[in-house]
Amino acid sequence: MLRAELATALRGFELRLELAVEPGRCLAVVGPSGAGKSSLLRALAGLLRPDAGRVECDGETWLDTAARIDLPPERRRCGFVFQDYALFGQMSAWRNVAYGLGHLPRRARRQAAVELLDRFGIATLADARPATLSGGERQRLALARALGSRPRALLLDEPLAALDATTRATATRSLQELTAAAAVPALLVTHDFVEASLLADEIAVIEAGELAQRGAPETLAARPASAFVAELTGSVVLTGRTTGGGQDGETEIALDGGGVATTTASEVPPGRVAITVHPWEIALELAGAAPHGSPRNRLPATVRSVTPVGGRVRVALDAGQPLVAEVTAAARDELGLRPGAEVVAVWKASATRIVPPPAGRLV
Amino acid sequence: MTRARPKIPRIAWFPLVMALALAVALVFLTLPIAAIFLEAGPAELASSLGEPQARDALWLSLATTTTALAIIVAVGTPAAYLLATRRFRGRAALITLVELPLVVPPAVAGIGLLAAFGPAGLLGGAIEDAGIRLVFETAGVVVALVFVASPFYLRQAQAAFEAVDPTWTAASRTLGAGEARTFARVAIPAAAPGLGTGAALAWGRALGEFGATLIFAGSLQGVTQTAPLAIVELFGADFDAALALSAVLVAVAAALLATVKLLRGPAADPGGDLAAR
Repeated sequence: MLRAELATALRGFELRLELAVEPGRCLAVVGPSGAGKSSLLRALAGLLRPDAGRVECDGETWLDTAARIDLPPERRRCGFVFQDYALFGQMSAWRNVAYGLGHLPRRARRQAAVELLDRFGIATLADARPATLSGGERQRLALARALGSRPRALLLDEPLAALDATTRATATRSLQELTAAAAVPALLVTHDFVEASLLADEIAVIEAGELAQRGAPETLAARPASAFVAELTGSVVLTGRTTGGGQDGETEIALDGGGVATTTASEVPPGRVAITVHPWEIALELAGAAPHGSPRNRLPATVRSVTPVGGRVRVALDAGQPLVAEVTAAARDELGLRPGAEVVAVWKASATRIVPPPAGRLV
Repeated sequence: MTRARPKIPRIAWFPLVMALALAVALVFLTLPIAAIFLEAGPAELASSLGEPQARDALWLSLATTTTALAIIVAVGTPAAYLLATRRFRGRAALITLVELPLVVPPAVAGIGLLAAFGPAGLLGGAIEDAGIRLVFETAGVVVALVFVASPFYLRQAQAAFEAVDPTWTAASRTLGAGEARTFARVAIPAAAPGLGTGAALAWGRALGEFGATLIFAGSLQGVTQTAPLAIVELFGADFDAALALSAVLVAVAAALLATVKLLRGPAADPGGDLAAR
């Protein structure tokens, strides 16, 4: 069990976090750039001393600022996978791994290092220098090195960020192999919700230095606690003001950019609110076409961009506020979607979820 | 219809100026060096180097510069690492103090060394009580060389350590290595080319050292008379011998420069770090 309670002043705000991770579990801390994610990992590893806090792992106290306990990084032995991997450039791949094998007799290290490389499918590259490896190979080398040092916790700093889309799938499997093999608490930090949901059992979202929401990836996507969390999970977020109107069991919200949204959510607070809709729940119709079906939400919008992503198409729209719809390629062709086209964004009242409005925005 | 005036071909005069300036500089800088080898033929060179005074001086130069360099590297490397990796109050002032010997005239350095370590100097009594003699002794030459040459190494080593990726040292620590092992196994190998350059520059400076040595240790053949001091003494009596000894020093210096260039790679600019200071 890794437990931490940290407070440290960063540029412009204070990072205050309390977290606990069970062995074999992976917690992802997700937040925007500059939210103090890297500082959090460094503080846990002993590379940075927070202003105040406690860190304990396996019942051993690593840090207790009140009791003046602060174990150096080499005594905490965290398997730290750096964003750019921090491989030693002047050492071959196996020597990079052997560097963390100080607990083994010197003669046994090469053998053990090659076995670790084999585990990640790069044993044939044992004598190669890191500079000659591809991005995916470097990542696997960094994972082998972290695993070899018998880590007591794993700390992963945006482990997929440096990789291109084609390498990400194998890299994800390698990371799952690492967290399973190490069987220690794992903590991942990233700004990418998708990366977090691929790798973590649980996600903690930090906003302005504090915990905004913690839960399983599906829970966060389905029931975001704030506009910030909704935006992070890729949902559309629109702000507005609750009106008195609406049919039975429905509430109407006057949107800031014009237009009205309808929700079936119960207990909609009066005054300012934000609504969120998943992009795949939004359908598009051409403006002026006869409406079909019964969706309650109909918002006129202008197409800004049309981007194929995987098998689907992301359509960025301007309806006074920006929103995104995700449609099939067939729908794009049928409607002739292109930038400048006038459309109507359509979704069901039950797809409109209510969250507290984003902080710090006036009006 | 207006036609553009036929263009008079313009003489590219600035490239000519640059080429001329480079030619003048090249001739001026290489002529004296070339003259040494042209004047000192192989026969004179061989016979002059047979002279005991020249042999003694070369041998002494080799011994004292090597000893001084060993001391500089042993003390300077951890000191430079500290300056490169820690931020503390007064660090900038400390670095300036360490660099001061670079700009102090050698004669002033010799006077300063006498005032500090000479028989009547600040620490003169303590040094004498310890049974160590420096003035007019080979040990004194080493002291003078260390004083004038060490800033060259410290400066380069500090820059080399500052250029080491800080995540490498962080990774080393999380992999179970303490600060000493990180220094020896990660920081030094990563900074090795820069450390090599610094050592070569310091050695070059020590090899040419003249003023501080003359004032602090004197010019006694076989004891404190290094090659540059011997050249000055020979110059009055035996110009050919002075030429021969000079030729040897030039050859050694050229070899040193070539080594530095090789260490820094083909694209490197020798002394660029010094120029940037």
